Amino acid sequence: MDVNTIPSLFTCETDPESVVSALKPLLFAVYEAFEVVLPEVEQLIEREGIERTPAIFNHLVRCKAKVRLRAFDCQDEDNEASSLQIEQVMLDGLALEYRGLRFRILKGAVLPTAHSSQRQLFYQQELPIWSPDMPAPALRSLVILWDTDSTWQFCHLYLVAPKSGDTRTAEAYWQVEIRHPAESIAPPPSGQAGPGRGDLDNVRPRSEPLVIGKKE
Amino acid sequence: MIFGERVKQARELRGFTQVKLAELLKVTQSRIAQVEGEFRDAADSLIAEIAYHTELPLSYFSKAPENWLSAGSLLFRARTSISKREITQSLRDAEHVFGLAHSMGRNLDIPVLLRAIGGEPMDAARKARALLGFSATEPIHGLIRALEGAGVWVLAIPALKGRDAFCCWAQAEDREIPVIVISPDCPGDRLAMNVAHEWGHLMLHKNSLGRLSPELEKEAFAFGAEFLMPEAGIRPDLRPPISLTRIASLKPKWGASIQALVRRAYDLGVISERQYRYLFMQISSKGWRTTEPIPITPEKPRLLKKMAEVLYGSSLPVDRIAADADMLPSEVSRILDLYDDAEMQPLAARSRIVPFPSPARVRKHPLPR
Repeated sequence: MDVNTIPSLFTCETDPESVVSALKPLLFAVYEAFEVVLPEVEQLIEREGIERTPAIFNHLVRCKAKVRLRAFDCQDEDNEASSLQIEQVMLDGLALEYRGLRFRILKGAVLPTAHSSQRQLFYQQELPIWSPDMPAPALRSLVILWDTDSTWQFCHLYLVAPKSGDTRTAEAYWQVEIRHPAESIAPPPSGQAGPGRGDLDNVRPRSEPLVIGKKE
Repeated sequence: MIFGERVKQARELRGFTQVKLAELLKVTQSRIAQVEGEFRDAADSLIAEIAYHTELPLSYFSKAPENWLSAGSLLFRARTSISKREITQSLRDAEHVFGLAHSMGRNLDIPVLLRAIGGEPMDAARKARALLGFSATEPIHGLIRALEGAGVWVLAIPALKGRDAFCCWAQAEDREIPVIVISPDCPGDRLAMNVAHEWGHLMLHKNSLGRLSPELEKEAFAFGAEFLMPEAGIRPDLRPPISLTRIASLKPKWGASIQALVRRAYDLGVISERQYRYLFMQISSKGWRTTEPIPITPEKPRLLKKMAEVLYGSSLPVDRIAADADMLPSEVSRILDLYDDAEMQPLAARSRIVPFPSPARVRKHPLPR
């Protein structure tokens, strides 16, 4: 395993902030993608007169987000699944791989249940067998949740380390909200000086008058 | 002799009504009105009490009142969001600090190297950049110092009520001084825009500052936006698609608020009205209308402290400065604390100023470069 991959560095009980920090480039790209595509979808729905249902809206968001994320050089792994699972992935969310870690990008504020065996395996950190007594495994799977408010505006992005799930429940090691990328941008150093600046040398006692304004 | 007008100015400076001051002094409101109107002489003990409650020295009341400042652009906001008493108090505050500056400035030469430009705001903003020696496309750092270097008195006052800044042309003896009054509590990004905006008023609306209209206010906004974020410089940074993340990444570079950058993108036609409204809804939902991420350190003005250093020496004898200005030393200290020190000062574009050529003005000794 590559020493720079997430599974080689973190377990599922690693401090979430460390994981978020390691994944910043991807998370910021995802954040910006949703920031950009939600208003685009709004515009598309209005322009084309498309019926606005949650399913259609979410599907259009996923399609456009996928296009944008490709531009961010995030590997789209739809084609790695079986035909049935491809459809499952395409209907439910986006799938990505980054630094040896697999992601599902899903809609909602909480981890959804896992109806497919592939989703269940994904939630179990790809362990074929899982029990609550097992020590925390290496971190291999993460879920990114995106959510909208009642006016269809993008409002939250969460990172979730899933633990287990079935058709009725889903459990996570942790879930943290991803803050807006702007909140991580460092402020500029104070007092950025320009070249050749003095200290108001134009302020002089009247005994040393400047001659500006006087006629020759 | 006590000037009733000075009693009134002192009362308004501290935001007291006649009733409030009368309560503090345990006299009737009509007694205060009589003193202010000079209908009856005030007893020394009453003036001493007024001086105590208004935190001013007795000498303040025996000095003839001066009306150097007009409310200038402050009046525009008077019609919208601030009360008459707040306007008066802001003006009195500004007069008070201007009085301190003037007590020193009358012994100094601070040439004003600016003149009103007029004309179309965008074009005026480009000329203004050239005037201060800034490039046509780069972000501006140190706007206040550059303006001070050109003879603008930028006055920070401790409690500017109701708005972040205003401007006027002060009349002091034979001089006409461009003045920008700022609140020191303003975030750096907003401060820069406020100063650029007020400078726009000074440049564009010299003869109409007391009667600004929404159209003239728009012109000052356009001037400020083009001055701080010139189209030629910022357009390449505003490539679509525009998101809050992208806009925010420009804030450290341009020193402008996220909201101002969004507005700039809209004004330049980079985003549609719909996108503009969407971005502002996002900004509101995150609570950024009042507190934005990526804090920009506000630039402190320097001029007032520099005047004191030139006249009194760098040790700044506050007691002497206060006595000369008819103020209490504690207040002088409080005011001077709002200004930048020589060691700290990052800026000053004195050497970069390119004066307007004027056949009537001949410079015998060129400014140092």
